[in-house]
Order: sequence, then structure tokens, then C-alpha cells
Amino acid sequence: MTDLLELRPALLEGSPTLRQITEEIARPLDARPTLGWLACFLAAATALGLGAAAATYEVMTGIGTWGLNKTVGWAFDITNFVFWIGIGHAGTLISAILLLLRQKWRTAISRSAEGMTIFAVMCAGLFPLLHMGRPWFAFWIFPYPNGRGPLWVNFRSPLLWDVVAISTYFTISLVFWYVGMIPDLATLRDRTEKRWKRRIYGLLSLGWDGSRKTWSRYETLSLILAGLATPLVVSVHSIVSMDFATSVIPGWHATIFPPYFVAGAVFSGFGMVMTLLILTRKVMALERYITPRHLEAMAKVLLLTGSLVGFCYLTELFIAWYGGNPFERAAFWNRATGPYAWAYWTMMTCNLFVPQLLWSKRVRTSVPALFVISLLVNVGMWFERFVIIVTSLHRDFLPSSWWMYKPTVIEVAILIGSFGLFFTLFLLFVRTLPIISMWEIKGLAAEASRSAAEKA
Amino acid sequence: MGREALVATFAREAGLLAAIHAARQSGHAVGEVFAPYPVHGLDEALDAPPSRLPWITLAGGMAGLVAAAVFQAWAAVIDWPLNVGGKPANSALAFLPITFEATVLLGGLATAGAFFWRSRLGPRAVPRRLAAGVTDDVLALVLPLGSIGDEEALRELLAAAGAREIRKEVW
Repeated sequence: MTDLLELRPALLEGSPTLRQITEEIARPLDARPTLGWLACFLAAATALGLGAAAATYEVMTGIGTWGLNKTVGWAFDITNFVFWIGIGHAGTLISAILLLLRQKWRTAISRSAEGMTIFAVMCAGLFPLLHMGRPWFAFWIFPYPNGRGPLWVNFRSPLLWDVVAISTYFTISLVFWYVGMIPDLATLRDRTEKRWKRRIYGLLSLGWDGSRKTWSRYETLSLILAGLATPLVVSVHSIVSMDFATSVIPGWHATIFPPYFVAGAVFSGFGMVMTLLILTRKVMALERYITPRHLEAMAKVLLLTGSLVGFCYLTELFIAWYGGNPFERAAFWNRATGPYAWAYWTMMTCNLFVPQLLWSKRVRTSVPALFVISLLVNVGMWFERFVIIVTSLHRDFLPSSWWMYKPTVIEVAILIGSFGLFFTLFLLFVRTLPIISMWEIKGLAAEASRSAAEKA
Repeated sequence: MGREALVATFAREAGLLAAIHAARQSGHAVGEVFAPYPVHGLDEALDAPPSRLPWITLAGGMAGLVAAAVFQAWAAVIDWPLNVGGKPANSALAFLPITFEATVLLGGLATAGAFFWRSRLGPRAVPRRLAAGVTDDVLALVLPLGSIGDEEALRELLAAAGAREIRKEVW
């Protein structure tokens, strides 16, 4: 068994000392921002500004600034919402499910993936909020004692389940992320020389001193949060899929939706983690910690979930034909050959065919190939949501209501703005917080030296 | 706590574990251990009882479950039954997703809260600094001194286990 493990490429390159681990991960936080970082930040902040301007205009003018019409009442915004929520699934999957499965390769990438989750859920929340038209009344979706009866929210509605599921997911993910960072914040507190930085890290690290009792409780807490987050991840995208599946629209009304959406979410989330980490390890000089083996493991998850998603596409098509329901058949025929066929085939190419390249070890170990594939996965998964939402709606039950949907400049600007928000937050994160969990890497290094000592 | 103790620092966990083993063999109590990462096998070496946090999770989760189930049923059945698409007022199955989410939310928050409270972690908490570098690359062992006589023996024991530095501190 040990011999087999020896053959695998290392999770850590070389054998860094504990001090080296602290230095290499914490150094970028003290250094001046590089030109590359500044350029990225400028671009992201510009995109965010554009989106903020478009959103402000939309809120002041009304939802009429979007391309929605009587037939297609959900389109770009809900596509973006489901897209971002999906992105937000990889972080907790990596940090919770892979923790429970004792997959050690998660260590180096879990912190950044969790951060990505939190930023993606923030971006997602933006879209339903804007779609409300009057976002200042957003609190109406929560059941609070009000002066209208009190009139309670409709607890039978999947849209309300969605609100509760996503708020819970966001809260638990945030707690998980923050708790995971406390020991590292204490490390930063004890090494930084600037007084104002030491004060901030001191406040955030909550007086952590690394005592045995605290570590013992800490590990219990991590395990419990992982155990709680695991069913939570599955529940969130299942509930998102029920927004569609519990309706009676052909193309939405399918029992396959919950597992299909969860697989798609993990697929798109891993696609985004791959994109971000390939960039981050290069820009932040962390190749020693985020190794080709990590990328290959993620590529395998992409292959698995991509195949699951593809299997769901084919099952849907088969059931639409075999089920014998003429409306269901028409909806799927229209997807593949109708006016939005280009979107359907983009989705099929990016999600079903492209990931199959990952069967090849040469593709899985080539960083440029993985980068291109991860971008295509992101594109494909965005189009999946667009296809599900728009093509199912644009052919109404009444043929006289058949209509097309085209996004307006405002909608596109808000989507660009959400990418701006995501990347702005991510870039600030890589500059201010340790993006690799130092204490977990130290545990890994200690374990490696322990097993080396046992062999000697 | 105002008692004297020997603080020994180690570079490797093997030395630390050997020192703990030797100290406990000769009947000394171990005060505390500080480490930059959770040392594997430390709890077993000290016969420390497992954390009781899972009970808090159970209690918090149950509270969330009961609160969400009761509140939804009360709001939808007793306080204001609304006819939504002809569904029965007590559509209990439809209350499940929110009940599940509330269970997870309260279970998780209660556990995290209990962890902070029991470990005395908070924005105003002051870390104990008995040895420098315990958040970087140093493992520190604190052995309280019972009587004056055994200090020399303890120092020898720690040095034999490979301690880098041994100092007397008040803790």
C-alpha cells in the first residue's frame, strides 16, 4: 500500500520546513501588489463599476429595461442566478465532502475554493434581489410579524425554500470559512510587523494560542461543520431545481432535476475552481503547493460530473421521446432544432463532448489544456441554464403568445458587473488573507516526515 | 493561574510526544501543549476525553427542527390558513425543506458558538504567550512544577527528549 502511494506525484513539492510554509504562503500578503495583480484588479473594478451603474439605472427605471416579456418572464437574471449558485457549490464540496472522505489533496485548494463559494453566492443573491424590481422591500420574503395581518409567507413555495436554503448555505459556508482561517490569522498576527495589521489580525484571530484543548475542540467543530455542510450542499441545488421542477412547464417538469442540477453545480464549480487556481498558482508563485496532481484530481472530478451531466441530458431526451407526452417531445425537439438550437449545441459541446477529452492522461496533465477546458465548462454551464430557462418558456401553451427573448445592454452589463464583483472580491482575498491553509499544510508536512521516519 | 511551570520547546512532534510520554511515566501532570497544527496522537497520549461539542450540535439541530416545523404548521394551519391552489392547509411534506435547513443552520451556529465560548475565543481575548513561534513552527510543552525538588529531574527528562529550550514561566 505504501509503495503504491510512493508512486504518486507528491501533494507537496520538496519537503518544506514549517517555517518555510509560513513564509511562502504569508509573504505575498506583505509584499507590494504586483503589476499583474493591479491590472487584474483595475479590470475587475471597472467591470464592477459598469454593473453597478447598470443596476442603479435598472432599479431607478424598472424591470422594463430588461428584455423580458409576457411569455419569457424569467431569462437572463435567473440564468445568472443559477449559474453563480452552481459555481458556489465546489467550495463546500471540496472542504466538506472531501474532508469527510479524507482526500488529502483538498488541503491546498480548500481555502480558495471556499472563498470562491462565498463570493459566488453573493453574486447569485444579487439577481433575484434585482429582479424584485423594488429591492428595498426584499425583507418581505422573510416571515416576520408584519402589519398586514400578519400575513405569512407561503411555506409551500419552492421559491421560499430557495431563500431559506441559500441564506443557510451562505451562513454555514461563511462560518466554516472563517473558523478554518482562525489559526492562520493568529500566525499572521504573530509575524506581521505593521502595528495596524497586527491589530486587525489580532481582532480576527480571537486570541487563538494553539493550545491542545482548543485544537482538539477545533477539529471536532470542523468535522461537525463538514458533516452538516455535506447534506446542505446537496439540498441547496436540489431546492434550486425545484423552482423549475414543481412547475408544469414542459422541459421543467421532470423528476430528474434535483440530481441533474447537483451534478451540474459540482461540474461548473470545479470548472471555476480550476480556472481560478491555474491563474492564482502562477500569479502568486504557489506552484509548490498547488501541484499538477491537484489539477489532475480536479480534472477527474470534472470528467465524472461532466459525464453525469451528459448522462442526464441524454436521459431527458430519451424520456421526452419514450414518455410519449407530445408537449414534452415538442419542447425537446424545439431545444435541439428551434431558434435557440445554437445555445443548445453550445451547451452539448462544452458539457458533454469537451470533458470527454479528460480521459486522456496527456490532457489531464497539460495545464494550458485544462485551462481552456475549464473556461469551456463555465461557458457550457451558463448556456445550460439559459437553455433550460429560455427555451422552455419562449414557446407558450398558447401559440399566439410565442415570443423570442433577447437580452438588453443593461442585462449584459449587470452580468459583467457580477463577474467584476466576483473577481474584485477574489483579488482582495488573495492580497489580505492566506489563500492556502497554513496549518493544514503543516499537518500534512509533519505527517510526511513522520512516515519517512517510520520507514528509516 | 499564577503557578510556576517549565516550558519546553520542540522542533519536531516526535520529541514532544517522547517528552509527554516520559513525564507521564514518571508521574508528572502535563499542563498544556501549544502547537501550530493539530498534532496527531496528542489526545491519545494525554488520555484526553473526546469533545462534547457533538451534543451541542444535536441540541441546536433539534431546536431548529422543532422551531421550524411548529412555526410553519402554526402559521399555515392555525394563524392564517390560505388557500393556495387548493392544497390542504397542513401540507406537511412541503414544510420539510425549510425544517431541514433550519436544523442545519441552528445545529451549526450552536456548535460554533459553543466552541468559541468554551475555548474563550473572542475579539477581546488575549492569547497566552508562553513560548514564541507556537503559531509558526514551534511546539511547546508546559509542565507545572509541583514541588521544588523535582525541577532538575524534569529538566533532564525534557533535555533527553530533545527539547530546544527550557524556561521557567509563571502560568
